[in-house]
Amino acid sequence: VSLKRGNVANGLRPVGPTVPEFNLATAARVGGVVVAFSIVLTAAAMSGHRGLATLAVFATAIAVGEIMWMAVDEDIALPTSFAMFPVVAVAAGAGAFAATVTVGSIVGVMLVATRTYNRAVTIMERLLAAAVAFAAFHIVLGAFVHRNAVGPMIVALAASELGIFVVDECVRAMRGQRSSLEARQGLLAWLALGSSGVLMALGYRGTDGHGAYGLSGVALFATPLIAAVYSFERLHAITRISRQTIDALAAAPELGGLSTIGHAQRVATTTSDISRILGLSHAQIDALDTAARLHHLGVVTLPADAIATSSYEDVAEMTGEMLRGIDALAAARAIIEGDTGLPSAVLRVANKYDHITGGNDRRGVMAVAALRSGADDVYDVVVVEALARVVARRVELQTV
Amino acid sequence: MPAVIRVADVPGGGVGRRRWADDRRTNCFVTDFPPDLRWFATSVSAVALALVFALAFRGPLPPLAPLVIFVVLEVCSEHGAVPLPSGTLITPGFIVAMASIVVFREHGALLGPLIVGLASGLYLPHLRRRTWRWALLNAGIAGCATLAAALAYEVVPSSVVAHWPLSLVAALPSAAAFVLVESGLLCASYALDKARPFGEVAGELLRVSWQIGAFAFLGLFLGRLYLDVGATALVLFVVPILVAREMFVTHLQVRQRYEATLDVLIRTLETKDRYTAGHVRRVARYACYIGEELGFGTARLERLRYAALMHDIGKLAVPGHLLNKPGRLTADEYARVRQHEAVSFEMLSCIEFLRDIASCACSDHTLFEPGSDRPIEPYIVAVADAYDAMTSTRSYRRALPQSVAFTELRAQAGTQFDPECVHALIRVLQRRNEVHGLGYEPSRVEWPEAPTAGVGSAGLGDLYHFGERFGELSESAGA
Repeated sequence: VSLKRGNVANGLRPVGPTVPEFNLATAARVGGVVVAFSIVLTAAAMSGHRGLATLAVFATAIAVGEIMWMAVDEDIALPTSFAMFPVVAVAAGAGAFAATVTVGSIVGVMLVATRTYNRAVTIMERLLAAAVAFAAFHIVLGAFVHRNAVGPMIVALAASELGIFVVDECVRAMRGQRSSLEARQGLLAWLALGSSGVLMALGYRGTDGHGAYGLSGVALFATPLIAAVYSFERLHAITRISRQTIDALAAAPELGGLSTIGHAQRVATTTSDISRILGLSHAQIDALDTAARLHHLGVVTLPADAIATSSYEDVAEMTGEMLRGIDALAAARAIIEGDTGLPSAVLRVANKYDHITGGNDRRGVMAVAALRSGADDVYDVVVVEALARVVARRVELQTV
Repeated sequence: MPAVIRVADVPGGGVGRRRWADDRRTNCFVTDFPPDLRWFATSVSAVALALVFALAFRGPLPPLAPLVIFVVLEVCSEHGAVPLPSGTLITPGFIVAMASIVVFREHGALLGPLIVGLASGLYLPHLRRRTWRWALLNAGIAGCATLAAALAYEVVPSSVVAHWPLSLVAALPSAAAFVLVESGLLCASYALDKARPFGEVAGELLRVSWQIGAFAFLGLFLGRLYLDVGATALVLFVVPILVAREMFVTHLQVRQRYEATLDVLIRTLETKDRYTAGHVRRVARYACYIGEELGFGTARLERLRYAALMHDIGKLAVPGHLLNKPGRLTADEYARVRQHEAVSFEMLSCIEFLRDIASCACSDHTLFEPGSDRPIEPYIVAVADAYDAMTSTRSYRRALPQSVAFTELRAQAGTQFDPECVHALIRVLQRRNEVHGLGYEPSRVEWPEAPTAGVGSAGLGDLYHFGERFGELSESAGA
């Protein structure tokens, strides 16, 4: 029995491009940043540059915030440094603001340990967001007469946070990523970031000469945000574990030699391609993806002699039986059992397609023809046509 | 503020502050009030109400607008208890109370905070179930404690309060006064209700009271910000906390769903391999005993538990007819059954946080090697697995007595098993007075056709280490 790791053909889902995990290594990085900047801070404070020392603290906070993310979804995460930009905008002039934000962002981004993370682009994005935050704050504040009053200050700071949000959404759209508001947690994360940013800035500068608490204000008012970041981190961790366990389960039939290697993974890819063309909702695509990974699981409960002769429906029924009572998988189970109309049809077609081609897309055209003819079974026309487009694109990619 | 809180063992963690009277999840709402406690609750709430009238009569009255705002905030924070991943509930009520103490310092310094404190008794589930006594007791305790904190803050000289950041220190006497009064009254009511010694309860409660100090700083700061900036600051402060609460609640839901998923899987596993019903769960329990004894933290214990629960998961991929085959397996079939370990290993490796300890699933890798730097978790699972294999009754054989299982574990300690784990398990079981094995088995299930026991029988899947020795062990036990 060989025990080499990585034999699993149906491996892990690719980790989202923008969600670094918070672990011991990250903690060490955060510690490193804090130590390095404390040295700068001490030097600045000893040589009598209080202003410089404050900026060093802000740069540290931005760098740490860049490493500590609020993970909204598998591929969406917001850096907590977004909450710091308005604080620095309140505290510093244009030159000092630019310097602080640049140093903090570069240090933070360089220390994030994620392979699929384009550092240069991310730094540009942060600097753009910071510039917009700064401009929005000063333009909106400039429109008021009593610039030190509470109301104008809060409005200007809120505008600054809104600017960051708009830049982030635009960058996301340009990169072809989903909007951060698509997941429910996205809105909550922005609310926490925004209100904490405004509160920290107010605590630093005060209004009408009252309540200017300086750095201690920023530190104290960061506590609700830290609680929020921790809560997001915990939720992300358990969601990840949960998804990976489902992936591990999906691998069971292949590892036991009861199904061809990579079948579930390929069916998942095909279903997601088809469902994009059909314009299914995000929730449906998610459920369909899980259903595709698990649709073959029931084969493990079939008697050995029945496996070869079992139909798709037999296995689906066994899988449905296995998943009964798992609330988290109820949507996927409905798809597998054929209760959901279009998503179920997509899964059936993708499964049949993989059985005919055996993973070789060169046989794709032939497979589509077989599905169209409905020689042994009738398949949903709309889904088969969508599959035809998927196949055409794959063949095109292969010949290029 | 944690109004009436319960000193309870939090599963997997230390002692936590928990609501006592209201346990919505377990639905054990206490409606009986022991006579002593009834007397106590009446007097505490009567004193608090009398103080309200006395202070109102003396004046000055606190300004109405902030009073309404803080009362509403207090009631909200009582309902918005934050469930932490450790299982502890904390309510941010004291932050609000402390802020009100700061805000009312100039006008109605005592009456304002007292009313805010009393407001925490307005707990909806109590009102809805008409458990007025609990509401009154909560209100009385919180009111008195907040009043004590306000008194402590009034004593602080104005020069200190005006100075920043020195004024932060002013929060400490208030926090201390609050903790002392609240804990004192709580312990008294808890001792009266559960008939436990006062000192013991007080010790447990004070140990978890440190968080009040941190809350006091935040509350003081929030109060000052309210004076400087206005009520908007409170909203800005509360939003991230509410978001965190929402996330923690979702976290708990996802976790429960995950546990349910594992539950279903284990059930499937047990229907497939019918000879090992309950085995996986018992192994997980013993593994956690050992982990706790070895001083594992909450997170590490949880990881160990998941690894133990899934250590046999690969059996899902082994054809059922082999697992349940009556009679001896051929060499090929036996190899096939053994393959489940490799499959379990692969599956655990898919799960990132279990990857380091995926060898829990694999008996070749759980053989003890002195001095190796491997993680200890696989050794723990091996000991738990072996202990359960020896002490559980299967349809085709009886369990061994516990003493024989202990002797066998001790004999193999250092060669097959990690001695530390063996001794930890034996220690815990003896301390907990848990006896498993012959004469203590849970109900036995009879199967229509019993398979032949012996090496290579799939029914002995988890027992193959003992396969050869099982006969002689049983004989010596019989003798």
